[in-house]
Amino acid sequence: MSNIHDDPSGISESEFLRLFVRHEAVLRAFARSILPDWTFVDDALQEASVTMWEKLGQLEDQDGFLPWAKVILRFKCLSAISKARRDRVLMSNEVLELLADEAETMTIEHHSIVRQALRICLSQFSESQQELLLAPYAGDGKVKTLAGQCGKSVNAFYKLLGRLRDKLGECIRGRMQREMA
Amino acid sequence: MKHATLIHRYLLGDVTEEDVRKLDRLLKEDSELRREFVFAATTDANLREVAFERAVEPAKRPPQVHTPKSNRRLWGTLGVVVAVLLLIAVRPLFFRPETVATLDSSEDAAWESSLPTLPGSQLAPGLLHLKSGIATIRFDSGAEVVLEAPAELELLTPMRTKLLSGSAVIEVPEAAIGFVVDTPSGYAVDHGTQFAVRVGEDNTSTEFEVIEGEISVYHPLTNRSARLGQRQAATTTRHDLTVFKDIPQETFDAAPKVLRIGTNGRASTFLRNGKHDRIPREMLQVKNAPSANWDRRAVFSFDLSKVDLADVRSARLRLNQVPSGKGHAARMPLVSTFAVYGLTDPTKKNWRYTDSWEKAPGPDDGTLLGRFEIPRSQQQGNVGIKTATLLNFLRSKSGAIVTLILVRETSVIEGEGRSLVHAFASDTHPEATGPKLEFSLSEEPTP
Repeated sequence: MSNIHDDPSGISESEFLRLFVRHEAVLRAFARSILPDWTFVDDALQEASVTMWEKLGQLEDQDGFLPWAKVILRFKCLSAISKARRDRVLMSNEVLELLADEAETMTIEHHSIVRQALRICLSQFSESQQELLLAPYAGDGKVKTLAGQCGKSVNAFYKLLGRLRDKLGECIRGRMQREMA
Repeated sequence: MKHATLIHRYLLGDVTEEDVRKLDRLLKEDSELRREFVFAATTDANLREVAFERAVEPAKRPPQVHTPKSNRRLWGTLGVVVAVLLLIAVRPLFFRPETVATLDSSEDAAWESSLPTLPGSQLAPGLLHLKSGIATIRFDSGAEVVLEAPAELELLTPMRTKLLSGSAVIEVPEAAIGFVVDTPSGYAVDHGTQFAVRVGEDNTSTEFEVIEGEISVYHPLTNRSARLGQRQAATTTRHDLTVFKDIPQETFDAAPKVLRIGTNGRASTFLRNGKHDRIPREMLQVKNAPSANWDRRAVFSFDLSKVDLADVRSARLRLNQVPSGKGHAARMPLVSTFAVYGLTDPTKKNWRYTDSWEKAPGPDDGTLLGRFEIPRSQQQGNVGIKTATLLNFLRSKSGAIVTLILVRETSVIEGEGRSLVHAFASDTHPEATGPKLEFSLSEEPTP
């Protein structure tokens, strides 16, 4: 494709793409632990992917990809935060760094175990509960629309959503404990 | 507000400034709560992926997540090459493909799946449950998975799949190097090869065998991994990863463990009133309603000349039930019983489609080989018999053509309306496969 770098001992372009695609979900979850909303997460990951691409020469082997990618992504997240701080109240850098440290330990395997448990747990909810659980990602106003359809206030629906997420989290934890046991 | 609830509302963007400050205070002091926060964020990320997967199901629009503004910014600064690369790299989110694979072919396959199961079907992410037969799934990346029943395969992305149970042989062309096959106890990353994966019956162990080329096997719980080359294999269990080198070549050249034969079109339904031509040829129908003239039975033959019955450990007759569209299940008892007979009367072995009800082979012309049951709520699925009597009968007919007769023993219950006609696919059925004899040549896993 290009020859921005052609160090034969390093990672090739196509290898990088594969590594990125494979780790994308876990990187996204990492950024989500630091950043206040999904728009920030998507932007930070995109910017980080560009930086990774530019600095690919630093990466010696595939095993080093995830820790290396997290360092770059953490930096992008924290710099996005410092810009956003002008417009809104956010958690302190100290806490965000602590959260990043905690999220740092997340491996691709752990992420996929959560994913698998989530799929099973989600299917145990009624169809309308599932719809509500997934509504926040369907764009602005989906939760509002659902609330309107049921004649409830949006606030009440967010409360309900919080409770459903609690239950979902408990179920996932339970399944993971059994799986790891 | 409970702390967990506060975290959820923060992640949902439904918090006040005061809430954010409170959460900040709590998280600073409490490492356990930070762990909970990261878990909630991970769950949030996973939920979002599920939401996107579901959103691209037909008739729904893919989500518009990305803002054009930041796109322009990036394109402007980085040039086309990186733009194209980015497009590929972030495609799983922004241009998530509706399908990840195509069902290439299926041999005698019976499915239990929410995904389409006709050969040529485009497959979206989801779970495939192969009940019998063999199916070839070609991922959009070029990787090919030959799945052997009984097996469950989860299609995740064009570059990733998960074998939940059963066995598969995976062939990965150069374009799809890096293809990942996940299993409950470990996963393999392909480096351009052909390899086999088998998930143990208890789902806690997996065998990986390289047929050609190289793979890496990872064991998430111990963080161990191994690179396997030709004639090497590895087993992962809950707790460990074990590597075997220089395994005997025969492992791969072993004869197929299951052999299936079909009827080659020699299958027919006979009606008491002789109007066999009213029955669609793609179905074999059975009915037992003595008061009327619409009784049906099915007759079909298998050629055993190519089966060496000496090696056979067990034999199974498989039938695929299909909806007949005739009659009412409500007039049936909760469960219907079906019987399979083997024809022993030599004068009837040359039966023909045009034979009358009396002339065609019937239960009185043979010996009972086994029975199976179908609940009245069931309109389709895989049924059949696997009995010692069946195997002995087939052995006694070694090398010859055998004829089996299928009847429904259960009659109707009192009431109005026509009773249900049960139907099974014949060889010409467009979706399900016709009757099959399945011979297992070695110990077969419990179904």
